[in-house]
Amino acid sequence: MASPELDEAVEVNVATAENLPWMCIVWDDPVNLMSYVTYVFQTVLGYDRKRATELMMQVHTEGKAVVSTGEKDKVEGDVKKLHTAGLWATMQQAG
Amino acid sequence: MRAPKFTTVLEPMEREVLGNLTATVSEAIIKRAQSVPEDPLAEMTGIASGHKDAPKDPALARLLPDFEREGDEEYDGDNSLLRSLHENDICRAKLANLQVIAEAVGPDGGVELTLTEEEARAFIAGLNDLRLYLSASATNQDVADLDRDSLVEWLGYNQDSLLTALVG
Repeated sequence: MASPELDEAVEVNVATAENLPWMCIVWDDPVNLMSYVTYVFQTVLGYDRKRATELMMQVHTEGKAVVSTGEKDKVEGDVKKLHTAGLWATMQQAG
Repeated sequence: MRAPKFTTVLEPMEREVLGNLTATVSEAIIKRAQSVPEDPLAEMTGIASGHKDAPKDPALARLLPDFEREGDEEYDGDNSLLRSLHENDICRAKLANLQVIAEAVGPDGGVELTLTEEEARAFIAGLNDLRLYLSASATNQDVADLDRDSLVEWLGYNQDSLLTALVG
């Protein structure tokens, strides 16, 4: 009987709830000005003006946009900063 | 080199409306922050903990939304925890922004406002919260419903022109 080869490197991508990345989503809001939303994406999330404008337009035309992804703590911090700025942001796990 | 300054001139009436509205929203946030139910665990651990439930007032709820959207497939059910961890900080930051407006237009302020860049950034964020609060409030004792839309628009005009002066 062959014994299992334990030295062989086995890469397993376990897509559990534990390691899926998180997403920060900004939802369209009829009150916030387009110029302000762009400014917040630049100052809070650190995007250049071009990228910030693209994301703002996505929120405006599609109703929402994923504006950042990553570890839960990081995304949680982004949502907190966006709420402080008055944007309607939520977080959810990718999947 | 002089630090950049941002100036605007308000009509006395505009200054009064802005001051009153800032006071109203600040009071609502302070009331919220001071009404956190007692939490024996928070008292024991000394870790400050805020409200677990969203505000019932729709205007305040718009300023302090949930972290997760109920109904999402991936909804994690962490809203209460996330809110209790972060709401106090968010309230504090919003009050600091509103304080900049209050000081600029307050009893000692003139109709001509002069702001540093840092103050201008707080002013812009504070104006945004005033607009959100007004738009989401069912009724507002300071403003007749008919006036509300034009006030939101006027605040937006001020916010946008300050923003243009700041970032071009």
